Amino acid sequence: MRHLPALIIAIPLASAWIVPLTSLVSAWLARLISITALMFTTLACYGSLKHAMTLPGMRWSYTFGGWEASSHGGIPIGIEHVIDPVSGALATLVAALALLTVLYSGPQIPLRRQVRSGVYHGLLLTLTTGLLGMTITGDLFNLYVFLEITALSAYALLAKTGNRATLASLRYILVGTVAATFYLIGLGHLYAVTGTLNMADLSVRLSQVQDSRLIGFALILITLALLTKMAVFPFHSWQSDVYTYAPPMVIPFIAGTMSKVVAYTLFRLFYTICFVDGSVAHHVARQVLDVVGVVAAISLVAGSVLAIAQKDVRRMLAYSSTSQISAVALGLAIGNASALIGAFTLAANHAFAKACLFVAVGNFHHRSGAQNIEYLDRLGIRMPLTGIAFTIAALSIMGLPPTGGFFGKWYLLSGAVEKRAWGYVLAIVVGSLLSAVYFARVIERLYVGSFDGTGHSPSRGGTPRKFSKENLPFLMVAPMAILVIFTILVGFYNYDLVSGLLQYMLPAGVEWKS
Amino acid sequence: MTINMVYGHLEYYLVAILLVMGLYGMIASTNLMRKVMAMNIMQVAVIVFFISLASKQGAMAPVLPLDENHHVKSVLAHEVVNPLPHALMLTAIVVSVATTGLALALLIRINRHFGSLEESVILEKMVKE
Repeated sequence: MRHLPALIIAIPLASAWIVPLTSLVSAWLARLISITALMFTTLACYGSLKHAMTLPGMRWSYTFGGWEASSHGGIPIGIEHVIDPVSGALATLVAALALLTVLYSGPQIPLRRQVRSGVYHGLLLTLTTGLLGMTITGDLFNLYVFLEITALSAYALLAKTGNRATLASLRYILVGTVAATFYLIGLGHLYAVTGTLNMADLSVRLSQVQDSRLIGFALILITLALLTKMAVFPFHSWQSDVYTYAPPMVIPFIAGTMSKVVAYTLFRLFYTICFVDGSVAHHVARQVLDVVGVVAAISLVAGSVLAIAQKDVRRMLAYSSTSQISAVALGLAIGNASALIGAFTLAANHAFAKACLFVAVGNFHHRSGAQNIEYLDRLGIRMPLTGIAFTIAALSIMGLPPTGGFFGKWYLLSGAVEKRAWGYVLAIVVGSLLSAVYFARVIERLYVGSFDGTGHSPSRGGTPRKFSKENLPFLMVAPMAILVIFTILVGFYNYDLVSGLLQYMLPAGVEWKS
Repeated sequence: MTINMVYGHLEYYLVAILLVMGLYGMIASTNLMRKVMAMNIMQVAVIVFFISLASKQGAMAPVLPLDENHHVKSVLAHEVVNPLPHALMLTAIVVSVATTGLALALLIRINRHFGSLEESVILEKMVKE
């Protein structure tokens, strides 16, 4: 029990090695191990969140090997895992989505190709390890290492499907490495001026630093790196290829969690490290956040516009992700209680809804081979459950009540109004309206499109084959249903969510009055 | 004044030059292999940067020396270079090896399928498919 925060990393990391080896003997056993491991990881995340909420200050710090991580005058050399309401909740979300993804991918990976199945599960587990590590670590360099673990497993997972995917993966490596390098240089500057890498320690020491140019340079580099990893416009170009060519079974997980975890890192950077009021660091951070806000507002609209122009559903959803994650970044940039609550709600909602959309698209593809919007003709009627799931998740992304997306946008809007940032208000409203446009186009196709889909010139990518009579396997429907239920629950129990969890996530000095 | 600015910070100019060279190479070259090599140059720039952070004038390697009776002699902090950036860069080197290895593996696959690593040739073949 005392070591839960270590187990969050240890379980998936250890099983990432065990699973490929086991798959040489039995692919079935390997799959069972990965499912069990992720179940325990989810429980560990949830358990440590529960425990952290009972502690004073709601912060559970776990130091490895008993080495002191935060200095009390001395030099911190230990590494720390920190569970607080934000990191605990996000870790639980990541682990749970990983579990659902493993269940979902089961029927799509033939067990007789043992090694392939083993490697896939192993990579998924390392990806989970990386994301969880980024979430709960209290050390900036450790975060870089986990960032690279995440990225490397994502590159490898992506390259599995074919030649276009390989090329997309190589581009992703180039962009991702530039981002990571920028992060590392920014980190180097922070280390040079403070002599520490621990976040809590850094916040104290950085508040005494007077050199605003140096802090500004470091923050700008790190922010650029994170915005690239989040795929905010104009740093988004890698994402659409990744989402289009990656194996359909892992995309729900990647789309649901990866950008959220990076957004969380942005939150940590600005609200944990640079939070001491009146310090130079805080002042510089506010200025950088103002720029982030403008970029996010532009990206919110631009992502939606780009999404409207797409033929391929997955590419459309990728640009929609750009728009949605920008809304989260905008919430962080506005920075008052309502906007931050809005950002958290939107992040949670987007994690469930976008994962659900990709599962639904994967299911359409599985039965009909359709990937372009024009081939989705009336599939919503032929596959009622998947159609409903897609529609509800789409409504939630659009922000219609009573889904979570509505409340997220509502809080975000009221945050922008409180701050009298009318430009942001306009961007949020326009972005939401445009998202209604591109989703309505797909939903219309799903329910009232011409029946047999002929009469269209067949274009590359997702040429439909004959509609398969076979029903979807249970394991491909169940995760979708669970995701839809969570999307709805985030909306229905929004008040309880805010009062029970989200309000404790707010950084010190930002009060929530309901 | 200007001489001092250059002289005391030569290594940082080296870092900046390497970084910009790497970035430029990744953007400007049309060959994928060259892009990966430029990416490596960029990663090396970071390593040089961190190592130069650790250095001190006249300091020795952070290893505790033994005296004639084979007892460990204590050293003062300013007598040894800071070992932490070195440790960090060991990790960064491992990361860069992994990234490069993966990139090279992908390059082999791309070359096998498209028969070239020139972007223009690959794009042409992709359009034909």
